[in-house]
Amino acid sequence: MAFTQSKMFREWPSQVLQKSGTNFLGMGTDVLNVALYNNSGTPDKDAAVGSTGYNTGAWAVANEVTDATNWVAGGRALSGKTFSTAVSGACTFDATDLAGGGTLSLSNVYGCLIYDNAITGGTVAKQGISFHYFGGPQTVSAGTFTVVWNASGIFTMAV
Amino acid sequence: MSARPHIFDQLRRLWVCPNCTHTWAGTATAAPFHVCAGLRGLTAPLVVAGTDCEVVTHEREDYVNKERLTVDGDGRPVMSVETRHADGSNDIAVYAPLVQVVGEVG
Repeated sequence: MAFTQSKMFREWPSQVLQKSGTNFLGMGTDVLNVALYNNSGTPDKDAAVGSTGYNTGAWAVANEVTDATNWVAGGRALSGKTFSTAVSGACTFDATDLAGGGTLSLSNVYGCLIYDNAITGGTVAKQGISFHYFGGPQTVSAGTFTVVWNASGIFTMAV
Repeated sequence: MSARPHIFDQLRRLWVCPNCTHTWAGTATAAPFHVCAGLRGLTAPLVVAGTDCEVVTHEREDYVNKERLTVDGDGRPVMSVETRHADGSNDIAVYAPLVQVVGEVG
């Protein structure tokens, strides 16, 4: 199995509503990381919370794609986070497009995991928020790797 | 004692697009992006003027299903834009889909 789609973990809204005992302080305060993955794991939006964190389940470091310097294990932190309710019936989360810190070489990057790097308690540390499928294998050789978020944001929730 | 240029002045460069007439002069640690008329409205990187390269797009290889993707001006789903350099190296910018939390329970 493999990446086939882009989804939020169903356990994430549950975490946001509860937060007790996890050290979660809100997505605006917590450091959110983006880690890159190959196609070995099977991302599952309905996974048990214990399998949604960084280095758990499909998100094991064995499946992570890294560079020794510019996209290290654990990924890179999001910046420029915004939360918008400008569209009727929707709440949208967005951030600045994410570029590697410099020249790197990566192969077979199929998607990414966005996780809360500040969560240290509860059932799982570094709990996953969402995963995004890049549509096929992406390879860069001695160049830069940039994730351009959708023009409509990283995720949007309809209410 | 002669005045020395500030380091940021030394790094100021002209950036151009191989696919349209867009240009930008300034300092940047990474390639600036722009909305490219030559790539049917996609957000694409600029390159340093004089760079021997081409900037091309890649259509999504997998089925779209209900994914909210980046599409070009012709409605084609695009998964990435690649800068191919003459020395064989390349840069990739991937278009991450929007995650939509919608639907009804039950």
